[in-house]
Amino acid sequence: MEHIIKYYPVGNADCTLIKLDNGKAIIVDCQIWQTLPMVMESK
Amino acid sequence: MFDVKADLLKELKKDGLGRPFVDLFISTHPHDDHCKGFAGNFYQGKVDDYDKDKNKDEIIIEELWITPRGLNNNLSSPAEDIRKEAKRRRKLYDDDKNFFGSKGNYLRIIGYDKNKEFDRRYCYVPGILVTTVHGSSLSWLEIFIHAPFKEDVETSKKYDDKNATSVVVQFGFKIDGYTGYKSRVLMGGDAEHEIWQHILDNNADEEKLKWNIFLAPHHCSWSFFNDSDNKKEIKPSADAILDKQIDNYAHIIASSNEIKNDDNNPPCYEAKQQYIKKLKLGSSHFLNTATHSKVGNIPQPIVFKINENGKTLKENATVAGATSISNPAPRAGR
Repeated sequence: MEHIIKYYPVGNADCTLIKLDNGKAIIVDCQIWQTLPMVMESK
Repeated sequence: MFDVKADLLKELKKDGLGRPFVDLFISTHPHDDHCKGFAGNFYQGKVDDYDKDKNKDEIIIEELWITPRGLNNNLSSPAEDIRKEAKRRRKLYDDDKNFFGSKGNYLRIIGYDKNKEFDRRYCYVPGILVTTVHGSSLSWLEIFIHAPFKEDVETSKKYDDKNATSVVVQFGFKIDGYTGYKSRVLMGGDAEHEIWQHILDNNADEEKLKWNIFLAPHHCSWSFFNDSDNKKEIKPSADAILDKQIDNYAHIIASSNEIKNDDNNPPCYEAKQQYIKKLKLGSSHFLNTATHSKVGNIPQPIVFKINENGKTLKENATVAGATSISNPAPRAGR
């Protein structure tokens, strides 16, 4: 049995995925660009 | 830039019609840096109206958590998209007293409606331990809600730019065959030191604040330690929370730009130094999403696996073949 927690590299922002062994998934906040910028935005 | 959407689509399950879905989306607070890209990446509306072409790859949210401040604000355009979806769901409950949620329509408002609770079918208040989402048991995860408090929500209304109303939760991970939690993760969005003190003052069970992984609030901002213009004094709340780390192998994550020795805040260099000072294993267990590992010049996610051995930092399989790694992942196992 194994769960994962993944912290995405999204600059000064948060986006975290939790995925349980049983397939259940949770996302905490999001920071997703429609088109990926070349330079990270800074807040 | 790392392609978050592509990775989410790879990680998430699809329903019988091939539509990706997530069991729970937690919106900790309504600011751009926590909400950007909601529209267009997460499905909004009745699931029956999901168009396989128009809405292709949009992620269905089975259950949505939002704060009272998230429901009543005009702070940011991306947050407005989450608000609209939450209001659509709330109306389903308000229009039908027998409605208790359905696919893609579950909602929980985290916190209080001024001095009273929201409808209990769609609210959670601080102090609650959550074990189910959209009517289904999480089985291996429990979520303890610490905040937001009603007083802090009211304060936040007066000062729109305050980060007072973040959802603060402890995730407790369980493993088959073992009693208790194998690993605990404490996350509080952008919660500032006053909120952490408020949590400490109200918390009845010390176990609920312990952590193996702590997400440095507000992208490693100084606001966890004190007000931003006072870098000489550390509030007792910061020490108390950081002292709740479990054993010698706890990690702190800074979800931020690269932390340089400059005057930026966030991320704040002095905050990073304080975190490293408090960690039992110091700098090897302080990880920054911008620099932890890269493929070429693209930062990669920080991933932990949680199993019978507790939590283990997962090394990026593709890092070994990368030509440029600015800051290789520490080899420490736990």
